Amino acid sequence: MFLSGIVLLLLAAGCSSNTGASPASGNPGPEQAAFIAAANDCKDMNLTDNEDIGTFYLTSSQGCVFTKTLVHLNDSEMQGMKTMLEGTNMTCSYTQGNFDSRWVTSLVGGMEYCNGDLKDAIAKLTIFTT
Amino acid sequence: MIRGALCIVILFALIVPVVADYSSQPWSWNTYTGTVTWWVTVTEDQSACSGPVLTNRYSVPIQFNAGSAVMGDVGHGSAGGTFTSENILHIDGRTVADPPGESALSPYDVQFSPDCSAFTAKYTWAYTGSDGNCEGSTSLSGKIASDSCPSSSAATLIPTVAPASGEYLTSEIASAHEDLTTDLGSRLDRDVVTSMLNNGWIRKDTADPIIAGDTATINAIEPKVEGEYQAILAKDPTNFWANSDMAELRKSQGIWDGSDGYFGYMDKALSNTNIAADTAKTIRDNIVAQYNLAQWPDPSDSAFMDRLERDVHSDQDVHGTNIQSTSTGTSSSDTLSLKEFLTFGSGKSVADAFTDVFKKLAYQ
Repeated sequence: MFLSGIVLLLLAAGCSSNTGASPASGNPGPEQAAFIAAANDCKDMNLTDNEDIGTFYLTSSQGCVFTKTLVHLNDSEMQGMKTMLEGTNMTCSYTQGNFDSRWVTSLVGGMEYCNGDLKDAIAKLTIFTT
Repeated sequence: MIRGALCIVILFALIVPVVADYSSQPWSWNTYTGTVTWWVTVTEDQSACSGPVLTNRYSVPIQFNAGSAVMGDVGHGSAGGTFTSENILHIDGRTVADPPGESALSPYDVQFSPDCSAFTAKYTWAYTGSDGNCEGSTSLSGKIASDSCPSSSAATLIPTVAPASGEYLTSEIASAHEDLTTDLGSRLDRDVVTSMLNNGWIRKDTADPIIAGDTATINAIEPKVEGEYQAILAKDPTNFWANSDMAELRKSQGIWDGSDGYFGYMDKALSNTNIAADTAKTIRDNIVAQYNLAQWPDPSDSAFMDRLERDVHSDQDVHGTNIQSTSTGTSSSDTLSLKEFLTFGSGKSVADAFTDVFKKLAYQ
């Protein structure tokens, strides 16, 4: 019964799940590339994306909605930064075939089409850039 | 050192036009007719309901009508009252919806200061609802948003002769900005609910009324907002606040290009390089205080900021426009970083940040 429940959940989600370490911004790593391809087709997919700055959890859905959650920021960051960013997320809607890969590979690229407290926290931090 | 002195000079130049010039003669609100905008600190004591003591600041209009007045919403809806003396407005007790229950509000007096610049008031409330009953109080402390008392029986606070700086438009900008914030809040709410609906996180019969309500609010308030800002820009075409707010409105509407689009208004706003630089500094200070940051986040000691710095410079394409190439805001790091914030932040988030900056100027 328990196993069939899990199978049903997986079928319902129609998804695959990955955990991958990714390179810094720019070109996507293999796991990121696989996620981008699935998201571009509006498939259910998730990825725990371990980057050098922290851990992101990415999902895409059949409704063509992408979510990005900053799960964990590096321990070396100021506590205030962790308070500001950890647990925040942003949601980006798109049409099939028009997924913006920068949502995965960049902190800011394509963010004008997204909403959420992660977007607003990152935007606030851009005012400290030079 | 020079930069610090420059900032002080800039701040002084900003503040001088709005330095208080309140009435030295006793002022009587009970003979005045017109709408006046106030910055109101609202402290709601919910401790008897096992809740917190909440303090918020709002921009609130009060419509005076020679002997009576209607106070805008300070948390329990707008309320009308009558003057019992020159500067005491009496508001009767009433019961208001407070979902899932209702609150019975006590009668109270709004005591205006004789120099016209401030008021205080306090009322108690008793909440009854399916989730329990409790009592609390709400205190109000208002400060007039303009730099002087309104002229006698004037409908607005616009001087007949416009100073060159355009900074006299304080009350008009405060009123328009309040409407814009309401509008952008509705737009953000609608976008979030629509996204939740598309993702199957919310039922259609739940989402549809919310979306319809937000749309109704947007359709009702946006023509008013645009009218308010166009009136300001007709008098002061390069006004920083009006142009930056119009930029946020256009961004939220998805109108990016042309002189009537986001980039056009943003460029005009950032052409006020001194105000833009000072605003950027104030927003930074506010963020540092809000998140209790030990210091300004810096790429040299933060991997996240280092990555953000690189991404901001490599991902300059926003809705098909390289924001580095827009005409202004690239001459200094302050204006450039403000441009990044204006562009990447949600309209509501930027409007809220500007409200805080505006309040700081109004309170000085």
